[in-house]
Amino acid sequence: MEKLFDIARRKSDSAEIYYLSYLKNSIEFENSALTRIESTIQSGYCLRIIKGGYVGMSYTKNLLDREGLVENALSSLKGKVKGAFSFPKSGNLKKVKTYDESLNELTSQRVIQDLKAVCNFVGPRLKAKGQLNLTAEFGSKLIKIVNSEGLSVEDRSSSYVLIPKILFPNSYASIVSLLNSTSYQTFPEQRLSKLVELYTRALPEVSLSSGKLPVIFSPHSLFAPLIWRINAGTNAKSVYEDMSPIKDKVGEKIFSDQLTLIDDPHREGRPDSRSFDDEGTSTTPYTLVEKGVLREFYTNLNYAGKLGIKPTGHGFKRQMWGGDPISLRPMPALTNEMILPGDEKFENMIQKLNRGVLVVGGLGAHSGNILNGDFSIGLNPGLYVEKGEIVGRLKDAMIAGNVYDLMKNIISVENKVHESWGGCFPAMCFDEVQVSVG
Amino acid sequence: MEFKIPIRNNKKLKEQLERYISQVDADYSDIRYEKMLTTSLTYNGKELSAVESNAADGYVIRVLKKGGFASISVTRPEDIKKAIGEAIENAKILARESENKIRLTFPHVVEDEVSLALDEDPREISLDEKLAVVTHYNDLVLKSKDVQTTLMNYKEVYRDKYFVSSQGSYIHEPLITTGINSRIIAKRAALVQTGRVSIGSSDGFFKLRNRDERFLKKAQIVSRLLDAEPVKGGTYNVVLDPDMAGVFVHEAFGHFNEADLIEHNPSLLDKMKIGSKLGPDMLDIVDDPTLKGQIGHYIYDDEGVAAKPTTLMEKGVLKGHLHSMKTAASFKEELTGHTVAEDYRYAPLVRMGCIYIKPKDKTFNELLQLAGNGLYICECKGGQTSGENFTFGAQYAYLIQEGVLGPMVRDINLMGNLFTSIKSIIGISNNLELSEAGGCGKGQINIKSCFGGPHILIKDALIGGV
Repeated sequence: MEKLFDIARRKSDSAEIYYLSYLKNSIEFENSALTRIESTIQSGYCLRIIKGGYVGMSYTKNLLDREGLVENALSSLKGKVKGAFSFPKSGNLKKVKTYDESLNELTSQRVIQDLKAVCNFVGPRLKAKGQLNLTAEFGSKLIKIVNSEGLSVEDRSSSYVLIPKILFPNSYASIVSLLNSTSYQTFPEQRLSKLVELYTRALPEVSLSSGKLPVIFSPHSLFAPLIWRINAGTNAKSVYEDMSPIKDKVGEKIFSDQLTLIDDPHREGRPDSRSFDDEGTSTTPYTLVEKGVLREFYTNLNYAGKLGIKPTGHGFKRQMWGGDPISLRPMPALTNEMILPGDEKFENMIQKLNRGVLVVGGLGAHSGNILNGDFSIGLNPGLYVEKGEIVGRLKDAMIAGNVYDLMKNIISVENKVHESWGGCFPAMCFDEVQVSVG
Repeated sequence: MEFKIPIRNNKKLKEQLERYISQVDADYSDIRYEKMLTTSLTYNGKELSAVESNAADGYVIRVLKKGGFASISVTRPEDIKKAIGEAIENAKILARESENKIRLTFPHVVEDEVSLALDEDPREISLDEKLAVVTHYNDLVLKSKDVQTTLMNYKEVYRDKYFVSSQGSYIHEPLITTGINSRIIAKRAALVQTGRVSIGSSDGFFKLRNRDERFLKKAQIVSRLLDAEPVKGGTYNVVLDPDMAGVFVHEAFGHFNEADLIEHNPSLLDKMKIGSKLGPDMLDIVDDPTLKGQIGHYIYDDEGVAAKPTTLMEKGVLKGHLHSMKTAASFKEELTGHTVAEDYRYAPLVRMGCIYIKPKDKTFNELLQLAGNGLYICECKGGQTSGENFTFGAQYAYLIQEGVLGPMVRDINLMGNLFTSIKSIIGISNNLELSEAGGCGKGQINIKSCFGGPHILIKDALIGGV
């Protein structure tokens, strides 16, 4: 890596090398039986250079030809991709605990025993013919970044993820939970019991007629139809391209004061926590929406330069679908989003509904008009609540709306947050949501 | 612009892979080495935001030992010995801890060097020329009425794959997929509407030339969407265009027919038995990766199995599943050659190659007449499936009023249930069009999963609306 850096520095105005290596083991149980173990050992190098105001990039998995890698980055300069930024200098980084060394000792055998224990706990409690699927993933990751401004940082992280799902018959619709930690943990039995209880209540198929109803989004169902849209609107790229419907609304109250949305890259115990982003910019806890007021947009170096704002430490090598991180350019992205809890117990949110829907999972959130904030999703599943009780799951039903309207009509926010897809969220109840039934 | 791609010494690659496999103490093993050369040119609006050409590579090793079947992917040759050890250990754990011992159905042993048949080899076209083509389409769209910005990406993915199995197979198959994927974004006041154009092929650069009409037509449609009303939620008779019919058959039926998705789900397995009457007599469904000229074309899958046309449904009766070596043995059915990986980082999964509904006798206008009142739904915007339930979005639609096309409407998302939707097909047209953009996100991304069909008419489909 030093040799590559020397060559790149010599041939450009400034240079950056991003190195990533990771180990991951995945174990899967389907219908309570072990079916798959897969492992991966990956590494690679990505080089970015700036020369004459233009940015070049190249990458490789195996460092066979350092000169060739630098030549590729130089060749890409000829495309005249303008760089509106310079690489960051060294700064004081907050120490964030993301690595648990003991995870290195964790074996597939040990995890399998745990998963079997989960099966043994859930199996006898499943009165109806649902099936239990489990996915566990564990491993570690090392990121190193050096640049010609003198920055040299590295982050080692570990992760242990366990996802139990109870599937409804004839379907992959499920009641699901998530454990996502930097350390190995057994899955709490109390949470498994709640999973079984919710599944049992949701088992009967029920129908209702189309119309507008209050809807509770469970923590797992919030991200794709709602938070994803807000993320698109607060992304500096959307702002720069004049595509964000809330581009000129910083400082304005655009949502109910019950909504406070933050991004906390320093949260202890979460595998994605980071003291610097994939460009070496230091990260900091960040408020996007505070009591309904739009506070800030998030950005990487490039869009910060274009907009003339300060980088916020949100340049990450990720994209929506697939791709090797080594091959991706850093784009604005969030790490550990959280909606701050409200003051209502989840049980009370349900009890207060005379007629309504509890969304547990959704299908097709990616095919709506995301920039506009629109969503139209299949409920997968959606549970019907009548007179304060969950009475079953809806057959063939959809909900639709717009996040910028919906977030003005928050009835209540749960008083605690849960580890969920896309972040830590409470359940949220909204008024007047369109429910269409087949 | 010229890029230098590091290439290993191919001459000895076969011997090297055979040497690795000979070190594996197992009942069966295979190794896939893959070099992936990617060229990418991207515009964000007027700005060229990426010009890149790079190579990445890696190995995937799979091991069957005593009834346990495990896989590992690895980047560096110096880690291969360790990786083989881990794969063997994991296979032993699987054998010990699984209730069912894995068996595999083995393909014929083959030794084959597949050569690319291309009309204009993209690798021989200069980067400057590729850039000129993308710049032309981008400029064309940006000049169109109401267009605010674009995302226009040229991508050329060259997967040079080498496969060696302990049974003695050696296959070298290069695949080259070339395409321009674009998003056209129009805006008026706070209202944003988007449309997509994807052109591409697996048989050469020629498909990317002289396509102005596609881009201009879509720019006009996106502009018209700014004036279109959102669709009202409810049930409609819907005519799907060939692109949407392709997504429908992919999401609603195809995934359900992938044997690995139903193998361990007894309730789904029971419903998807060969011989089950699931659809109307007019419905025939085929998956054929060998079909030339479509984006999903390949000869061998990533298990070294020769792909073949597979009849999945005939006259509404289920005739076949898509298989891996593992599921073919478990289902006691024939290999189909449908097990494909995203790239060098992954073990392969069962995937659709090129799935479509066979055309029948109706004209498009006859379908509109049959629909009476409903929606004509055009061009997909992504779909998702979950067992028997599926959703998919459309870029735009037209109201059908008394058998005639009416005004354009927007915000179309359709939900359905496989077993009811497929029985609700009441008309199939006489044309067949295959998509120029593959794509499926089942666990990994598969840019080559192609789909298509004729126009089809489904009665009483559920539309979400906004």
